[in-house]
Amino acid sequence: MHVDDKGVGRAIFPGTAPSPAPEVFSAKQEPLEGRIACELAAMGIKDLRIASAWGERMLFSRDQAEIPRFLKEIMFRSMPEVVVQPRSVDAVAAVLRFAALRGVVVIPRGSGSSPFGGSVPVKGGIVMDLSDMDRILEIDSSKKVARVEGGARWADLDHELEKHGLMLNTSPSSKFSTVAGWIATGGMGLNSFSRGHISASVREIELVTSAGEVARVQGSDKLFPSLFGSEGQLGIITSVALAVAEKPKVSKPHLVCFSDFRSAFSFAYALANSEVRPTHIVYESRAKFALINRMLGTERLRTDDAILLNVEGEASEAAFQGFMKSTGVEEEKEYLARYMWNERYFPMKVRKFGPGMLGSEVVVPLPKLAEVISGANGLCAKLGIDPLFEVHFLNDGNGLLLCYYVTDQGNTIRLTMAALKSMLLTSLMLDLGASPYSIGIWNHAFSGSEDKQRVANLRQAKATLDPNGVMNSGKYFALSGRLWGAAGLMFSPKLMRPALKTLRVFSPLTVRLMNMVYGIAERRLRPKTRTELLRIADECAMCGACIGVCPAYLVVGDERVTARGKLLTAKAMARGSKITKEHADRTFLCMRCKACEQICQSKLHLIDAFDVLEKELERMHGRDAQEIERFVKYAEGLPEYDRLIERGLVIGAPKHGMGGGDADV
Amino acid sequence: MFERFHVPIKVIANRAGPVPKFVIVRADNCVNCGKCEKACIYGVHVRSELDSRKMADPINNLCKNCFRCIHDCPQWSLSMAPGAEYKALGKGVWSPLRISTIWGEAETGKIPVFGAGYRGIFAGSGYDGMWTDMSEIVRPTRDGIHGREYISTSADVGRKPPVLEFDGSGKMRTEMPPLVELPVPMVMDVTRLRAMTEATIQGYAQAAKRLDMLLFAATGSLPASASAELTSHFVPVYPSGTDVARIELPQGARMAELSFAPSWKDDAKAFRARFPETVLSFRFDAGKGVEQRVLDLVRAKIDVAHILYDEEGMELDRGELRHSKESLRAVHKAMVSKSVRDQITVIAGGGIAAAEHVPKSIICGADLVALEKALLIALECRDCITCELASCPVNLSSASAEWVEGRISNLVGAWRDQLLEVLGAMGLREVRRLRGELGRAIFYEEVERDAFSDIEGGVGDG
Ligand SMILES: Cc1cc2nc3c(=O)[nH]c(=O)nc-3n(C[C@H](O)[C@H](O)[C@H](O)COP(=O)(O)OP(=O)(O)OC[C@H]3O[C@@H](n4cnc5c(N)ncnc54)[C@H](O)[C@@H]3O)c2cc1C
Ligand code: SF4
Ligand code: SF4
Ligand code: SF4
Repeated sequence: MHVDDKGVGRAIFPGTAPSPAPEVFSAKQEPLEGRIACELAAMGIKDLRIASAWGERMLFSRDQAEIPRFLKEIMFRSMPEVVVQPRSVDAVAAVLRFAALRGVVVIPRGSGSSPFGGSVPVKGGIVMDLSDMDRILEIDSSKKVARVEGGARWADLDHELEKHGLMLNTSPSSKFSTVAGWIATGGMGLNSFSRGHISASVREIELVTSAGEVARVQGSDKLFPSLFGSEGQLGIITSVALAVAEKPKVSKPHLVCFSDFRSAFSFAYALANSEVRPTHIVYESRAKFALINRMLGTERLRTDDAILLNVEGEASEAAFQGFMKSTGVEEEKEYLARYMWNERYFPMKVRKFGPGMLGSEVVVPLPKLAEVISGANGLCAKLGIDPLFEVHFLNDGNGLLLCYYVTDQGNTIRLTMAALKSMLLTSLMLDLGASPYSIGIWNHAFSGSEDKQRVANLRQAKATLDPNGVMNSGKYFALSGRLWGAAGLMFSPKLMRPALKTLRVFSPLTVRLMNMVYGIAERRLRPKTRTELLRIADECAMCGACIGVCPAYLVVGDERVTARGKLLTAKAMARGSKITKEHADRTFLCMRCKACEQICQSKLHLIDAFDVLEKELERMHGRDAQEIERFVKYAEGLPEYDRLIERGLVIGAPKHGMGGGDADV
Repeated sequence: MFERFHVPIKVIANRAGPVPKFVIVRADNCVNCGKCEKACIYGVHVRSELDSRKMADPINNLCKNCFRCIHDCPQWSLSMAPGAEYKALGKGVWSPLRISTIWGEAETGKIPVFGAGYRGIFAGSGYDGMWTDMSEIVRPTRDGIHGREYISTSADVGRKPPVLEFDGSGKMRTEMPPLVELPVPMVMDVTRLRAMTEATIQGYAQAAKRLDMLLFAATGSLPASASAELTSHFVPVYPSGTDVARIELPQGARMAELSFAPSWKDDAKAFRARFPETVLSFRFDAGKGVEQRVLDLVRAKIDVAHILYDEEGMELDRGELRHSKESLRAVHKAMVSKSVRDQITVIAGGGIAAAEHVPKSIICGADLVALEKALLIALECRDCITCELASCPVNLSSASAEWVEGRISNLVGAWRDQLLEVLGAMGLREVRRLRGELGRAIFYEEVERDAFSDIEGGVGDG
């Protein structure tokens, strides 16, 4: 995170002499690759970093989701031609004007934590990484409004708010993702039950359109609702004014278990209609507790269907106690509730049992919830998967239903089958009355289930704001790709939906067929053997949580120095891709601060993995000890690095010598 | 032109790893930010030479306990604890602090520095119950800070006749007894030391020669290679029962020492007859009646009384526990009252564990002190309870004579500098004038008695 001069957190030793002036450090220059990169560079746009080396672009050819390679690389041109990282509105506008002129598509990207492909190119183009515009511009305690740049991360904002006795109204559980990224995709997450969709908390959005014009859109504007879930179709969100809340004195989670999900739901409905007014209500299925027990290595938690909720304020707590008395149900011990409440920030931990995780995410009207879940359960049984269900109760009569399952993503065939299963599941749930949460690329087949009026409004807004189709085009309304639009055809709602339905109806046959394919493939391909390094790389959720905390990234600005970047480098090596000397050298630029390890969603032993990776790279290209030392010295002298260290790299992580532990974010 | 005495000093590195006084623990949550490196002016925290991204393990022995790194670490990941091995060092007077101080002095030859101030006891037993006068310390223009080079630390070993007689022609009739003049009021005595090797003795001997000191050692314990060269600084010590008639003094020896025995008067006579030009010393254990024994030696015109105390500086006669501080004062007082104080030189040995013990012994009445165990500690000896060269943790048997010589020179240099500080602070120009100057010290027990004895239930009341 970039921290401004006025400072964040207390100075630990104000009296100490200033550090010596930093000498210049820049990681070895890599030659520009490609015409667009050269043209952009020639324009000399201020506040803009241009990345064009294959090794760096490769990181932007994907998002959080693990997609079978043949799908991604054969059907689409997922490799961007160039990646730009602007640090000012002017730089954003300049790039957009250039793109409009040259007819190149621009794909906005926050931290790439959304799994649906919204930030992944389908036909090359320019990926605009906005995570460098991450400043917190202003916090107005009296009006309770915070203004941030689009790339600001929720966790950083929350930390700043805390100093003013404030907190976020709502945020995704991926607090490491960007404010604009969530506005452009989901908007449903923590505290949605009490504070509603993120749109209820946004006061103003600053948008740069493809004409390079800056628009300030407020709640009363007709355009305002269309910006939510716009998936980068309308322009670049460069800053946002958010309403925030006062931090309550008391905040307490509760966990209540039930023998079946129906009783859990009736409890949740009763609770939702009571005087208690919890801030958040979430249903977790028994499978989740089973996996957490497995992770803990003890039967600490009851493997029941459960409701996890949070109440704020003493009145609410008292009301909850009264409510519990009236229902006669016993709640679980407080520490278990607190443990599960903290786990909400780590939904990806269970991936390690695959390693890998796939699933589907839909919005369900509450009356249909039980039916959707039992339907999904039935299909899962037929497909031979053991799903985890999670429902976040919203305040508009809907629930956000997540259904996911662990899978081995290292095996292409198995992964493809698992992905197909996830599509079968989504199609079933939509048929039962749910609607898709996000479209991106992979949910394109379900775009027909979107609210028709909403889609029409969005289409209209796009026509006026982005007439030349610069913004993330080739997605959402129609899917582009390679092979004369084969992807568009295959993922088209008209073809794919009926096909999925057929497969579902003949599910025993489908499963037999899938098993057959799997069997043949297994015999043909040699069994997959993984090195320890590759196993860790496969366990990585590619969520990007480790990027905002990485001091090396702050200094170098190249994602290849981050944990995600390093693990992607390892994956590329395992695929046989050539790693250049410059690329290898960058991999060594690291402060060994362990911030990535502490925040890691998958709880990976990253530092060990880095050591192995470095050893391999050293064998190929040697190790530039001098550059490493220059880098360390330069970082040490950088005031920005200093401020980051004083603040704490991982917000919420314990700051005492007790040997680390889980961070709060 | 006279040549000013000066101890050449050069860092003589430790051979074994030092035993750190403080152990700094860097917990797992360290982020390798390097702030501790900037904070520590003593160089405890540095980045790893193998991988500059990581901090190396703290170099604990450089830590002076200033707490700055602990304060500055943004992660609160540093903590400090007294070193367990350090705390277990030595016993009694030979406290961990004294032992490690000697190590430092022998390594650097410098006056020790104690980081966050002196936090030792205010008063204690033995020499810790004695405070020296430093009233002139704030008067730099006198013999103080600017006058160190004019302060003499030399001491004479030998007897001085009470009166000088001259004949009519002005020729001196008094026969002048032999005298050895030393530049420092310290001698080395290895007769009671354990763990001696040829190389270490050789090293001590070389140091004695270099510093113009005397080395007391059993006859024949000097390796042949050294004896030829070092004889004039070598004082052979003969065990009791030695037949004086058969003694063959090493060539060039200026002094010899006999062990006290019932036949001492005859021994002395026999020795005098054979070696009239050699300073004669008698060594004996301090104990009951030590005052009388010294007076007897004076009467028999013996040149030197070498009084031995144990490692703690206590008299060896276990009947009545008395520290050399009291013992020496009694001896001094007895001689002064008989007006014979200058007719013998008193060397005190045992329990000299710190530089400050030298002036303190002298104030109590010794002319010189003998360095014993300190000589071994200077070689990084850990003062183990069971001492065996074969399992010596610092592998003393492999120490070279040159290394030993350097360490001892440094130790003596550092101690002499501290003696100069004390003399300067007292405004004295000569260590000779410090001998028996009880007014230059405050004795804790006496102050306490003065202050509280007339109070009911106070000291001295029962
Ligand atoms: C562990 C984990 C937990 C999660 N929890 C939740 C949750 O509780 N609720 C939820 O809704 N989602 C959740 N997600 C999904 C994802 O994190 C969110 O959708 C997230 O807010 C996306 O933000 P991002 O910065 O990563 O955007 P990206 O993934 O980079 O981009 C998402 C979309 O927004 C567009 N976009 C990005 N930035 C801009 C911009 N500045 N201007 C215009 N368009 C832009 C992109 O083009 C893309 O279409 C979770 C994901 C993970 C890995
Ligand atoms: S250890 Fe620190 S510097 Fe290195 S990759 Fe992890 S977060 Fe970045
Ligand atoms: S290393 Fe951990 S935090 Fe980083 S992307 Fe992978 S799972 Fe996320
Ligand atoms: S100051 Fe603390 S966190 Fe930084 S390197 Fe030193 S011990 Fe580690």
